[in-house]
Amino acid sequence: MLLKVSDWVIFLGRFHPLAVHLPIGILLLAAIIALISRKKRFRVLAPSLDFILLLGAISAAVACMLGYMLSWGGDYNTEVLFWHQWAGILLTMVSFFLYWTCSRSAPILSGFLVRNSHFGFWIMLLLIAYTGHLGGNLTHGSTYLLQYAPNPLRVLAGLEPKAAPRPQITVLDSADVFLDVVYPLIQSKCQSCHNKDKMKGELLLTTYDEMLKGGEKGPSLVIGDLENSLMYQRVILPASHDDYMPAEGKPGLNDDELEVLKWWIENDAPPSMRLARVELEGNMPGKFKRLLGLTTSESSLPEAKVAAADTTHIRRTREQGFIVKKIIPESNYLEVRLPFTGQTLKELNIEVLLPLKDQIVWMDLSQGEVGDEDLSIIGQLNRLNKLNLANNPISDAGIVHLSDLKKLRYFNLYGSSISDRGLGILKGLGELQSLYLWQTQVTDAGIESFKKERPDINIIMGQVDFQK
Amino acid sequence: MNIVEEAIFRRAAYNSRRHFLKKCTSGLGALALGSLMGCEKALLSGAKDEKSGAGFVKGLPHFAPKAKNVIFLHMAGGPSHLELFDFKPELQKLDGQDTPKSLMEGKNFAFLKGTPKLLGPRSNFSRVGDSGAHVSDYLPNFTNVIDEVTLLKAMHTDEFNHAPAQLLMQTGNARLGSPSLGSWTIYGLGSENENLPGFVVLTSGGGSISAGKSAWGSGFLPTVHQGVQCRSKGEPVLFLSNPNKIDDHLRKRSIDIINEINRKEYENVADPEILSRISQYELAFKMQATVPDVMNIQDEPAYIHEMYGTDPGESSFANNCLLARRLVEKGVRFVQLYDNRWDTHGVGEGNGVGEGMKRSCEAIDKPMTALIQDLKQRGLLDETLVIWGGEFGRTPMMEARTGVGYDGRDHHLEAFTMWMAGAGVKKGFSYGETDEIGYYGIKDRVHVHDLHATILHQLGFDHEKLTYEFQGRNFRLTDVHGKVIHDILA
Repeated sequence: MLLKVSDWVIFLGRFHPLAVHLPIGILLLAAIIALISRKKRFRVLAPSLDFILLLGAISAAVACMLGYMLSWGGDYNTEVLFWHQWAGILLTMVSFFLYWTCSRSAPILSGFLVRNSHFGFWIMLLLIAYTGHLGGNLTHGSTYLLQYAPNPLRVLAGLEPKAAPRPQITVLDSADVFLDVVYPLIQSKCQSCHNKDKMKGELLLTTYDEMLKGGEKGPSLVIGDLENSLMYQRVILPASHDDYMPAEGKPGLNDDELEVLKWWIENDAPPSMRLARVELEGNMPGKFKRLLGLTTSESSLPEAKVAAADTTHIRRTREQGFIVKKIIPESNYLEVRLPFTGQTLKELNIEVLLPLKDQIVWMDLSQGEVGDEDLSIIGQLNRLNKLNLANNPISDAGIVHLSDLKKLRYFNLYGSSISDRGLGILKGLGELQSLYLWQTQVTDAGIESFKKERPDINIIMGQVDFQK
Repeated sequence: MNIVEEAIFRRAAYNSRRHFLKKCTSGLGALALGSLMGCEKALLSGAKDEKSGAGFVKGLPHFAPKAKNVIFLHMAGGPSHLELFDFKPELQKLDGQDTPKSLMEGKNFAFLKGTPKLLGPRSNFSRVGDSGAHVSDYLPNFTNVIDEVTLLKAMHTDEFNHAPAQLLMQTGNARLGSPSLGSWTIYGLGSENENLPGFVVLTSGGGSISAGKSAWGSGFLPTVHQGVQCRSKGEPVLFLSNPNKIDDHLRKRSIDIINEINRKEYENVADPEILSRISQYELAFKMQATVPDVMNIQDEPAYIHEMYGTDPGESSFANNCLLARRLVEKGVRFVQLYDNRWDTHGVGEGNGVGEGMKRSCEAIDKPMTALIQDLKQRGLLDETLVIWGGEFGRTPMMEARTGVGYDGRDHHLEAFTMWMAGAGVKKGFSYGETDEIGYYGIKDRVHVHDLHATILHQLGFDHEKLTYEFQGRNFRLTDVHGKVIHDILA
């Protein structure tokens, strides 16, 4: 900036966006009155026209002065600014001229001009629209107005169609470190000030090349060099620091975002790279996952939505004595367990659970005298995710019925009579992760052969030899 | 009399009896409307009072819980991290040297003054388990389960005295009057088993902890959510059994009548404390049958007693650990254990971090190891969160009042170690680091509020949304602090 601008000038200048709406409103009113007062019904309005025009012209002049002061603050696209400024001045002049023609002090010209004055008002309206549009572009950026416009309209306006959104990331490996993580971060935190129209600090951050080029303080991104990459150094300052970014009290970057930005710059800031190609260490996978909105720990509920269970079925289950409840209020999935009163399946009819088979995902029937014949019912609850059948007289003959529980992840069979043969049947449960077999007939040899086929399943045998 | 006074006087003179009666109509109407609507804000605020049949607050939990139960092993007094998990060979080299002045400047200690001497670790460390974590020879059994736990080695707190630090650890606030972690838990999730309290407290180690019963109080939450202390020796809950010559039937009838009277009183005055009283009478009656049953560890097989090192009929940490497992099996949400023997100032024999602390460790090493193993083999560790730790750590400096050879350490708030296990917490993981002498956390520090946020997260709560309106604003366990430590979650 060549001139040292006093704070007062900029302070007053920042009232421009406020003051500018006065001439817009008043001159629009003048134009409306001028155009409708040609009709006989509204002729009564005509005498107010010169007063309104004068008011509009004066407020336009004030807005021009404030706008000029604001422009001294810099940081605006100079070409747009030039046209905005001169269109605004022209509009002020036109409105003064119209005032002069309408006022009674110019009776000589009245004959010709009064007949054709509506042309003057049309010109004024066009100038208001043009100046206002340029002003909006200066403040919000030229893409603001049509950012969400339908594509045909954008093409008509000479813009490229909206960029196709990046495909939804479902696994970490398929994400692109720049395009899916870092760029959206810069988009949300930096681009509202560092775009083609605003260019604070002469810095653009809309493309990768612009980051390398940097602004008046130097490059924003130096590949592999954290110390000299201003885009990192500025965001890690304390929020009270003058140079802290994002400025103007906008929310800063959180810990995950900082770490990921740091990791990207340190790893040679690739403009595009699949995460599958790198080995992420320590806590980094978790941070990437959180930024991508992937849950860090596998959710224990199925992702698919399910219809709400029929309340009459739920009531019938509760009447039997089962404890049935929604796991979380927003989801219709249910958990079921035996009551704490000591009642077992000997007294409760397990068949009432069948109509709820789509909803039940967690079930605890431990110490419930569950026999082999009950397993044929349980085997139909094929959404089950966690199943606790500990301390029940279950044998291999019953386990056969469970081969359809393909979603089962946690299966507790401790204290049952399952043996190696029953264990073999469980090999087919693809999702199974933990299997509890303490105090069963399963032998070491049985486990060894099981592990050969399913090394992914964690078998918990217990610390204590109970037969001792 | 100036003109203003005169105006006021004139206006007052106009207030006739007629005016008074006229104003009464609207004024009394407003009063009546107020009492019709009830002074409680229930009608306006909603959610917290709309309890469904199962005793749940609407809208909770926020997401599917990883942990259904919590067992919090609180080592009251503050065990030394420097003798247990935080291996500092550098401190050993500096043993007996003066502490640099710069380290002491501007710091607050409970008892340290002048220039104390540095005190090297009094235990021997070795790397154990697949994770290779350092554990001292004070905890030989615990090394067997080190691959089940996550060590938080750079914990820190705000308070250096027992009572406020214990309150901060248990209620998220160093001052009295806030609900404890267990109370928040059952406020949010309800009790699983209607015949047992949802929040049970067991103590060992003698005496009562500095923070007293406030550490398991319900604060401003309804009093039904407070912890119920059970004794592991003698009758588990005092005055629970029937008095002489009163049988169950008579007892039941008298409780029914008392509750009926209380209900009438509630209809009159609408004090929510009366509802707490009614439900406590009901719970107490149900507990007559269930509590002696669940608290009786005699029916456990010999190998379980051997595993925990229990001593039936006595009061011990081992018994409490076994009870904790039994309570969790019966659907008790939150079991809080306090073991009160960890204030190792070294002011007397057996009170330092040498032989004294070693003996204390013997009392907890086997039981807490057994607790993890036993929960695991029963498939309960998957949904039970076990937390171990004190309210703060101990200084790397020797306490001034320490007698010769007693090796005492002062209270230390800048760094201490805790561990967590089960319910979706990483296995065999270590989080955080302290400096060369274990004075200050230098990496991945975890504040007590962060710990609370993480515990609530595993229970299915967003700690910023689990709130209770009190004195005109919403209160949280973590107040305005706390970050979930996602890095320790599997």
